[in-house]
Amino acid sequence: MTVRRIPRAGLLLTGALAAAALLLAQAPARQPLPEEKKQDKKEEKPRKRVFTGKISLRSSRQEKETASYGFKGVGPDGRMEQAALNAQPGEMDVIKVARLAINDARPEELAAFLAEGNLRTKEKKP
Amino acid sequence: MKRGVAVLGSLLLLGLLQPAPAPAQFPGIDKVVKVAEAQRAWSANEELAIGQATGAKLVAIFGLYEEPRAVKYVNLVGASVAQHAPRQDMKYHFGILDTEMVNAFATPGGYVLVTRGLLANLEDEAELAGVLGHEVTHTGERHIEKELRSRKMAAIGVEAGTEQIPFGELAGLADRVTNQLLAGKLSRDKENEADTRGLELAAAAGYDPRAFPEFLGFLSQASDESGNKQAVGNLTASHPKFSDRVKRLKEQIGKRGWDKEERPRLAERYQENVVFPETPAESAPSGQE
Repeated sequence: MTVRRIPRAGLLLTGALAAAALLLAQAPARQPLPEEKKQDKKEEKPRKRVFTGKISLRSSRQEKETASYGFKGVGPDGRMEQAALNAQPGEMDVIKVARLAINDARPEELAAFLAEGNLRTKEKKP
Repeated sequence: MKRGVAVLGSLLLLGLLQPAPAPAQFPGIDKVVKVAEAQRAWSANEELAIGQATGAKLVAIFGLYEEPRAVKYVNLVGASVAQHAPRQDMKYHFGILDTEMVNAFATPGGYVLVTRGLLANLEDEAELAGVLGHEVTHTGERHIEKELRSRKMAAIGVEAGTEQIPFGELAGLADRVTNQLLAGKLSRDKENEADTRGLELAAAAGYDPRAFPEFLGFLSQASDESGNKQAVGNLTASHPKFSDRVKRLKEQIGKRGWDKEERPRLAERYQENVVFPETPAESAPSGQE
């Protein structure tokens, strides 16, 4: 008894055609969900941190505080202007720098911060 | 002059400078002796005094951004990274300069100041950790001092027989350091060292080290646009090419196998803590709008 073997290439072609037909038949029925559309749009969006003109602000997380706006002594080419470099610190500037230490992370704060972020604490040498 | 007296008074108040005895009482003690740069490195006290004077100058130029949550957060991320720094004989302090320029600075004596513009353009905490690791390395390794020394600009005038830096001398040093930070550049090997070791600090703290070169890659793209020149021009002029830095860092990451690890980026925590006002009007104190 002889068995007529279907050539492998032919078998693959037949399978591919059948799969394509199935896909084509299903395609019109499958509309992307609104959420999926939104997700696609989000992925296509360029990173928001390009700072042409105004710095990129995080619109959902803005709060009142005491920032003023501007580059302050930085020229259009990014170089510092001489007048800014000549500025001399006043009493308050000196005090503000000394007061930076007030915000140093305390050991217990740092430990909690590291744990919350799943970060590592420095191993103490024996 | 009046302002100078006020600053001197503040420094005395803070214990940064000791009052020098009156020349009339101690003849000769007012003589300022230039210490040759080859003789010795700056002492820890000198580093601190120079760092504070430089910090004050930077604050005079840009102001400080003092939104409490953002300031505390930068300090916590900074401490997370700095705890792994080899140099632990000085304290590291972190602050935010109130300018849209994208940059970060490290003064002698452990002061690290990032700009508001930088924070606004970082994507997550791991990127911030990379930047802070870079700056912690600069200050820890005394890069500014070494740079000035190599240019024969690190000499300190001290009062004969003491280690006290007279006010005028301190102001001059702060000017030199500030000019170096804002209008000069460090040598390529110092920048490379800050990149390499800074990345190690961020990785030691557990952050995803890939974040830092990713941010530099973003800056590289942004710096190609002329509209961003005011924001990144200073950073571009003072550092090696972003593309070279990214290449080196990626090689380091590959060699250490960090690219095969999943580590935290903490984008959400970053965005919860780094906040900015919507408009200048909104930032005005209540009752003044």
